[in-house]
Amino acid sequence: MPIDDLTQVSVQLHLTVLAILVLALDLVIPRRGTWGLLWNKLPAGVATAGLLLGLYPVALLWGIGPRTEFSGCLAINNFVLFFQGIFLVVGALVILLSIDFFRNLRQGYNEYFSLIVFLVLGMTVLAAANDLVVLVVAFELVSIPSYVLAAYLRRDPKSNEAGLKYFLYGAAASAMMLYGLTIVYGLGGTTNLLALGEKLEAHVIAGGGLLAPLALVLMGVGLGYKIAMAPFHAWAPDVYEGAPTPVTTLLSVGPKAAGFAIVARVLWQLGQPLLGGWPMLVAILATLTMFTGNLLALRQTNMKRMLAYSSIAHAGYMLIAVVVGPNTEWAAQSLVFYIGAYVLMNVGAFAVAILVERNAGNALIASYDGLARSAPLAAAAMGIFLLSLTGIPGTVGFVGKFLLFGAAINSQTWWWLALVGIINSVISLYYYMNVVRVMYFSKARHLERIRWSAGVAAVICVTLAGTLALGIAPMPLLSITAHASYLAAYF
Amino acid sequence: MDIPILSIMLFLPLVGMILILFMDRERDVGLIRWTATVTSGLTLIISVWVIALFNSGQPGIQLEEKVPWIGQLGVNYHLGVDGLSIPLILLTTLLTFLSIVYSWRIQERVKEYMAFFLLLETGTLGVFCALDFVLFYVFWEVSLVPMYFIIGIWGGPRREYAAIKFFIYTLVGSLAMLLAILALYFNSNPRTFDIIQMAQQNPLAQAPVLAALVFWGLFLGFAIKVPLFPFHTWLPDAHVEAPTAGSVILAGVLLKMGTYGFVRVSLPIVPDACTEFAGWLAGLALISIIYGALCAMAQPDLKKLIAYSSVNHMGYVMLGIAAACAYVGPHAAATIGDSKVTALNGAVLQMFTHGIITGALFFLVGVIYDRAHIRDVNAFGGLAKVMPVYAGIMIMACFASLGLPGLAGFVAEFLVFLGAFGSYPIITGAALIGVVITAGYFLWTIQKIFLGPVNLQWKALPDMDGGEIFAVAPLCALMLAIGVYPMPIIGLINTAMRNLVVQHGFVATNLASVTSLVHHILNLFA
Repeated sequence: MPIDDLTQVSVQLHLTVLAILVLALDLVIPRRGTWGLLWNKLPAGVATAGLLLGLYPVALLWGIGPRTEFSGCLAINNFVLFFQGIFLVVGALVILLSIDFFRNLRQGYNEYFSLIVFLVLGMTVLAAANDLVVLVVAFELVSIPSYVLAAYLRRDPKSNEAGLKYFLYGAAASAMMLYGLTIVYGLGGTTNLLALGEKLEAHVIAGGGLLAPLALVLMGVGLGYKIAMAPFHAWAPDVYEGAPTPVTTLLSVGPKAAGFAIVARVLWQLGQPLLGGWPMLVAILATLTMFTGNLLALRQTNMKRMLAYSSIAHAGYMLIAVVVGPNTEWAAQSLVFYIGAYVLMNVGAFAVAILVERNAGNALIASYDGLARSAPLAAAAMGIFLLSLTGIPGTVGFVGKFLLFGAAINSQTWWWLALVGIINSVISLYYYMNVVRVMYFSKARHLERIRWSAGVAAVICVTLAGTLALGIAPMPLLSITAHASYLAAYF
Repeated sequence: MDIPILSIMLFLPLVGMILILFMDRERDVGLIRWTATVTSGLTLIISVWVIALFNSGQPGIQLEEKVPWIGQLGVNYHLGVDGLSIPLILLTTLLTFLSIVYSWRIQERVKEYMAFFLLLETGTLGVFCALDFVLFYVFWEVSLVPMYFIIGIWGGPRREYAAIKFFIYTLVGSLAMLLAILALYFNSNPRTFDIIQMAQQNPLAQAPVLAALVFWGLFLGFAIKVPLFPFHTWLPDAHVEAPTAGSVILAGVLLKMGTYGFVRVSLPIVPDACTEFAGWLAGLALISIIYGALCAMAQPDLKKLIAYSSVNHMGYVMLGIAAACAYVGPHAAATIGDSKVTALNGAVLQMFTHGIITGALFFLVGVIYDRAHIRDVNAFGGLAKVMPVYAGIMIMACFASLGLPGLAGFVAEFLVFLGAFGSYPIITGAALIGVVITAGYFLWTIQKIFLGPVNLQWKALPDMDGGEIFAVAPLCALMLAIGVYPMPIIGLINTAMRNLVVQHGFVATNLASVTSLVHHILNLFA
């Protein structure tokens, strides 16, 4: 292997070293003495800084042109790099949210940060996977830390339940996906995704059969589980509710975004030969996902569950772009842009949720009663994040939906998905504004005052600034996403 | 244009809002009130200056500002005014300023209240100034959010229900409009979001089915806002629950966004579809007129009565708009073009006069509600003796609303009927029933509240105070001024409306010159 290749995986190498470094630091830092408490923060700080530093290799690789490396195992292109950048930022934000949240954890405080870095590593590989074997390994590298993280509060039965549920669902979904991949390999005779496209094409021309559609459906189960697409979404509300809230934040954006990166690449490359009618199938599932998420969110009384259903609904919106496909103007860009927008607004909403949860001791929406009086800044931030999730102009969420619906209208065939999308946006308004109602319209106040923590405050500031600034002036993100989607091939 | 005067006017309230956000909500209450008052006052002054700069004889867009905004999508920051937007801008700045003055009496959460009102002013002014679809849509929605909070926080007992109902209804409409905008964009060549360019392109001239879809998408967005029957049900709830100043802005300004949208967007951009479906518009307008009037007559609650009277009055606006784009056939009278211009002039004037009249009426309902804490028409009696100033102003506003000659409402409604008769003689004739019913319920209301024996329960009610008179007096002065001499404001509107009718093929024949039209109208009043 020429040494030159290593620069192509510098992001992954960087993350591997970082994860091990964070883990090792925990062994050597002094815990006693005057500086003990401060030393204990070191691994978290190193992990945050390291994740953000990872953006540097991403930037170096940016714009060189689509290519595959390591005998075609990894795809390196702007599309993939954009997602990798997103994962790094998400990882850093989640660590900032976690520092205070896990303060009282008796053991494993610092291993936690190492697990997050491993998870980010898994996601960067998953997004870039160009080989079935790499795909499986990366899928597990994302999944296994997720199971552990979901169950991280060992004394909390709900957290344990979340971890176990996530694991059982995940194991079944992985197995199905693996079965599908086996069939694909059997049909195509290669594990390379790029080569598979052509091989499968030949198989279809030769007469095909039911195996190819079956393989697509089985793969769809595994990947659909990752992005919480209906009907494989059932795990999400329980896991989101039970998992420690920073972990929920991570699960709602990280693996979901990684899932979308690979779903888009697999479907856009292999969808056609495996099942010609895949866009209609996915369009129906997208519709189902939007309605399931939004309708079930209407009656939630727990903030985390509500956001869980809302994240299901957002997966539905993003699937519109997957259906419309890369050949329609705006479609690929709208997917990439929406992921970026969704990360900002959803992490922001969860950051406020963490703040309120730490002060109220629970995640019930009733705890937001009169928040506009006890913590006007937090309430305003939450209000803006929720308006953004609804898609009200002035926020980045609007630009995202504008592009998504525009792509659907532009495709002509899929204009009705835009109609489904707006109907769902209206439904979502009701439950998002329900939180605003509780925060602003109530005369009472549930919390007297709010104790802030630096990490949460920083995350809220960053995401709020992003949500508003990119809502009013989306040009920078549009430029980046235009580059990330301006590719003939996604491999 | 050297000074971006429209931008200054547009963002001054936003600057005021940001200043207020930095003030302490308990210590600086006085400062907050003054900041809001001064900002909205300055905005009013600038809007008057804008009118002074505006050349009413020149067709087309004036005081234009255009800079690229979202370059990748071809979205421009494009502002400009014409005879359609000028009266509505004045209406917005005037009513917002008066609302803020009136709202000095608000004691609860003053900081948020004033901040939301200023944001609302920027949003509504933006709708009337924007000439780019994306910008238009952004302001359209931005005006929605503060009103939701104003109803929801400072409203009456059922404020939470009314607030979310208002928000959901209008969001349904605006998202339908968004799809229509996107469909227009992808069919324009070269692609543009610019409203003026789109009107020149008429992108859907060759695609009648798509044009029809776009028309109904836009229709949903605008008709819900107007509100046109059967989309009006949010309005009584929102009006009754909103605080007084909220109702004033809602009825005075927000409803006009819908009719403005029809004239600014639907008529020029999908003219053929408008002509095709003009009959529907006219029919729904007629139902709104009659149904709104009948509902108003049945209301014991004074605020609800005025809310339903808005449905009735906005119906006249829609009738004028429908008449302007109606298909008249090759054998129509030679003056049909003039009739159409007259109908549109009437419609736009009615937007303005309804704004000032209904704005005044909602202030006046607020006055009595603040004192008696009820609004039941039947609970009063003989108030003319107890509150003579109030009675005088209220009776004048009611007369203006029912269309008494010499006051503003008459002029606008008369022009609408005059113009609409050429296109829809039967519907226009039937719509006159609405005027009769309106006269009936307003006279009845005056009788019940102000005449008859004094209800002893209210014999100690104080008359209007200085602040209240200050809020209503300019509106009354305008009612009288427009009623007696409407030419200046019709002169502002007329050029743009003529231009619209001629350019977008709503008439085949040549129009009479402006001067002859003016003489025509003047003769009617002579």
